[in-house]
Amino acid sequence: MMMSNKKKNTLSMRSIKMHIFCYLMMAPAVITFLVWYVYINFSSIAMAFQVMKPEGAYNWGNGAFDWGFGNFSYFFKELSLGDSMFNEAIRNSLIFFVCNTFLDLPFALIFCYFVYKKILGYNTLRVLIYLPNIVIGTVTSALFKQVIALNGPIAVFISHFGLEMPALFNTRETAMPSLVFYNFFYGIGGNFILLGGAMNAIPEETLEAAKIDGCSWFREMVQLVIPMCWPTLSTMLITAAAGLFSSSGPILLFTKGAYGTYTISYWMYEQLLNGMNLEISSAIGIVFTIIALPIVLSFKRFMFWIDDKIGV
Amino acid sequence: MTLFKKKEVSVLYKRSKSEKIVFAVGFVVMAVFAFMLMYPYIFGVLSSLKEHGRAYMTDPVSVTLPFYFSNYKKAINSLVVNGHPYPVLLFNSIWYSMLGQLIPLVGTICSTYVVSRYKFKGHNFVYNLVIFTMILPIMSSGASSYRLMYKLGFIESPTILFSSLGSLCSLILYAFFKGIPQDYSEAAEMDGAGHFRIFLQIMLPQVIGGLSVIYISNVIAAWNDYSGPLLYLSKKYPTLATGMYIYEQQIIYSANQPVFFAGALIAAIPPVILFVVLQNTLMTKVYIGGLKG
Repeated sequence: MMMSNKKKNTLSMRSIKMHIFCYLMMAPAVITFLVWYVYINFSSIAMAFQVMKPEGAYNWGNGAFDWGFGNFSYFFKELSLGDSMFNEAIRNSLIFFVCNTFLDLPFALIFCYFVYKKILGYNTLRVLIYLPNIVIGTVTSALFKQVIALNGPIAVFISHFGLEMPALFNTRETAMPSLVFYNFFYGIGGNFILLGGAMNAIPEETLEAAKIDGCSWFREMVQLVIPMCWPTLSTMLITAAAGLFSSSGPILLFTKGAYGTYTISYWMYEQLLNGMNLEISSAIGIVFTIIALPIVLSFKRFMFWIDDKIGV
Repeated sequence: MTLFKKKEVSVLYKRSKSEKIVFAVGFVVMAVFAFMLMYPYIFGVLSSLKEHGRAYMTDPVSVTLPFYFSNYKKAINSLVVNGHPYPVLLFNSIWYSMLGQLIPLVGTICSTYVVSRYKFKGHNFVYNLVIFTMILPIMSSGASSYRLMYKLGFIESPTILFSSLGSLCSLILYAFFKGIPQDYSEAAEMDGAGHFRIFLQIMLPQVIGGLSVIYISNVIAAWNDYSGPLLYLSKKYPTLATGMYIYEQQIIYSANQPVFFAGALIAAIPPVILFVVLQNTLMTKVYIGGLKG
């Protein structure tokens, strides 16, 4: 009895030490989570219901606010005007979401597959395609603007055919398509790291066996490589879906929202830069969080259903 | 007797005629795409070596001699943003990216290690919470984050480095730690090692390669981040990325463009060198599994 009590005490001491160790190791991350996630989100909800008084000075915490639904009613009033900036911003955000998720990702998958199959110059191609993601965005955009400038190399080239270079980012008709193109073009390489890692984790023996059985490259890609990369792909798609309304492009670098290029997240960022309308920004964020939540959860369920079908 | 031994090629890379055609087309498409991506940088390098004024404005396309390497020296001397010269911007980028990613990484390593290796009370809850927060589409936190940063005095201050002490669990690190066999820690425990010793002397060295890759990726991303420092550090501690943005806005019509390109390319060099050296490891060793389990 004494021995079993001693053994119990030893086990319980070990368990206590283990738990102390674990909780100490978790402490910095837990503090960060409680402050920068829990508190911040509760604070956002509170801010959404703080309506700045017309006569109040903008001075946080000094009685400059009333509590109410004024921020929400302002947003919905703006939405009800068909041609408001917010309607445009929602449309543009969805356009960027479709481009980032359903254009960039498939192209990146196909390119990654070719690199995985070690086509000629695959190492160099991989570095070159990913390189724009390494270079500072402001540098890439500045150089890109010079290339498409009215006296830039593209303008000089097409002038030989009697064509004139339009001011792509300075008109309503071309600004948004140009931003989407830029985002798509320079966004393909951004998925290379995760997709490359996923493909390299595929056991070679599986593909060798398929090859010996006469499997073509297309069948190998569609029936072997993509299903075996599916856990990574579904994680990427689910996290992308969480950015349904927060998708954006390099608007700050090109148009700053002019010519009909606002997105929801760029508008919110602009308010932060100017120190204005932070409460309205919080209210809008909450509206879109509520709208996006069931969509994202349903999408996650759908992805897990596909996981079950594939058998991962 | 053969003089040269034929190189054994894996069956995976033996291609039929149709496959050769397909992969040749793929190569051409990717090569054209890569050239189009690289052209602005090639143009930038050629332009950075031109003389400002007539040579640049009348013929922005071709290669002109002589090369003005002095533009690079001029860039370092003349690119000043909010009173901060180029070397200060570079220094700010270094501490913002390297220290700014090291501190949260240390916290993340510690928490991810215990979540992946120990069955303490709440470890499942933590893991599921991380997955849940990853897929939660929260959009409203920017304004309240900024307000809290302001109240804590992190705005325009190097103390912003301590705004994050790590995340609860990183999926990539989780996969790394989960991949280490339990036998190592059990053997060490039997030899009398404590939990901290096992973590520091046995587990960490096994994942140091993967950790370095993650750290370098995060440093590169922080180096290139212009929107965060523009919001929080642009007046007193602008980084290179923010500085290039502000400078470009200031000099739109009056710029010495070749010098601007030279400065831009110098800003781009450090992460490019890091990437080129580590590209094989970065592109092949980082793996994220599914969210389901």
